[in-house]
Amino acid sequence: MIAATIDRLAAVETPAAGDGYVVVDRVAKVFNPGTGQQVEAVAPTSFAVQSGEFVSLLGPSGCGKSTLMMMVAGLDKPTAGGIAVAGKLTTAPRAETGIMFQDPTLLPWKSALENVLFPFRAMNRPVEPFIDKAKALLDEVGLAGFHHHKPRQLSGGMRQRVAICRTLVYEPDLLLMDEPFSALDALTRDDMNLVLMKMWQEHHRTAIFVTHSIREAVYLSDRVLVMSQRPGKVIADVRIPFARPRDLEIGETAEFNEICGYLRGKIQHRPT
Amino acid sequence: MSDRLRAAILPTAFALGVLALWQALVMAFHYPKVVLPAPTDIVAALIDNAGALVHQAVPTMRDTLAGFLLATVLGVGLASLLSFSRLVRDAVYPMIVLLQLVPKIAWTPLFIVWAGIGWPSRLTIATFIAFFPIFISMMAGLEATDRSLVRLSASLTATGWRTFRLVRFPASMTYLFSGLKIGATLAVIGVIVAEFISSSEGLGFLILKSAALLQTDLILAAIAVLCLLGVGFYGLVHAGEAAVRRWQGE
Repeated sequence: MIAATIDRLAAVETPAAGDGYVVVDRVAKVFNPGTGQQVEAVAPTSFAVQSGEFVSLLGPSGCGKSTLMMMVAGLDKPTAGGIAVAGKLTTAPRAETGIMFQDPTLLPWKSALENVLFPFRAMNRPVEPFIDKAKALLDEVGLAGFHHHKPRQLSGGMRQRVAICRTLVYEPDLLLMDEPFSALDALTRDDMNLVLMKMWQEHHRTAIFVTHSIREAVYLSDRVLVMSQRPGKVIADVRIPFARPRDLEIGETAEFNEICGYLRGKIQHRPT
Repeated sequence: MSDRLRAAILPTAFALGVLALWQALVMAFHYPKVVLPAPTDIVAALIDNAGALVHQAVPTMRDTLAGFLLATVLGVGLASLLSFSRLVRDAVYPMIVLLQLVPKIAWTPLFIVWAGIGWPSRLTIATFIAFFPIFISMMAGLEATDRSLVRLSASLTATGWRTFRLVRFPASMTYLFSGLKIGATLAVIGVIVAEFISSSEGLGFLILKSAALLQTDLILAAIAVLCLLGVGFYGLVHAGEAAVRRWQGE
């Protein structure tokens, strides 16, 4: 049975670009080119994410996965290759992409509610029509009664929930999440994964999730793209077969652990 | 005893103790009043010359306040402007930092040559001296803004101006107010020095005139008024900071 699963996983692991909602085509990134500090962060790599898919970029620390994400977000430019989102070449941030960073990046002087509404202020759109929606989102992630609390009055997990609401409130069609829960303790992290899963199912969007946690990647994703050590590139593309909605208990199943083991082997694999 | 009460009583008691010791020493050793008047002499001078002191405090206060406000507008304005252009910032900032290393007081006679002996020169000096800490702290605040907040704003397609208004400017307030507090104190110094050099009004003028007449008690009375003025001024900036904090919801 185990052998059969491995075969099935291996069958789909060949990285392929092709069509998709997000297409990363032979993208490479070199920092400080031509200087003594030249660093090749991302080796030419290609992959595609289909509309509505939840894909994780999994790799060791410093493998360039965050850099790759920033380029998809339009916040950084590739040294070579191109990225297309919704059929358009990415050259600058697009208003329909929502990003979650490693830290919640809340305005410390604004309330939770005001922080959720921040995207509209940043985009110079009227805020009033979205106040009820922002409140509903905060209630949905369990922050009823905390609408007017300042970030410093909230716990780390609560702040990241505010950040989730802020990312969803303007209904982006693409969610980019850069290790959003890596600063949280293990229990809070499980909790946040559940919240994220629930929100993702209710507000179905295409999502790319950067993480170095194998279990998190397997639990959340439809597909996991494994990245090599720096200079990072996608070395495996693994489909996660679990049906949704998923609960945390799937983490106890043999198949789950088998997939985790397989991915761990891929990450530790060092190409010569 | 509550901490607040302790924080109020302890320094007050110490200050009163120093005054009492001063009074006792003057009385015990019979210092001539012209060298060291007792605190009671200073209080008497304050009462006797209340009219003159208030009269002279008005122009000093006016020039200080005006210079401080002008310095705030210029300092915050220039720092904000420079924060929009890396090129201009890199060209201009080092020169301002270099300029601020020169003792600002040294420029005073030059400003009097340029702006005359009336209030315009005093205003110029107060503005000039208060400008640097305000400008530099605002600059530091703008540059210290959490980069991830700026990146978030950029990812939401905010323009440079909106990012400034929504993120970088409000994030600079703590820095700005520490500069404003220094600027407020320096503005008073600037005005007094200018009044020393050439003026026919103001507390600085009164101090210089009293010195010529050996009215030591009046000098100290004027300094006491200046002290009150400084405290009031500092309190004003502090109140401003509290108001901004409340507005920012802290």
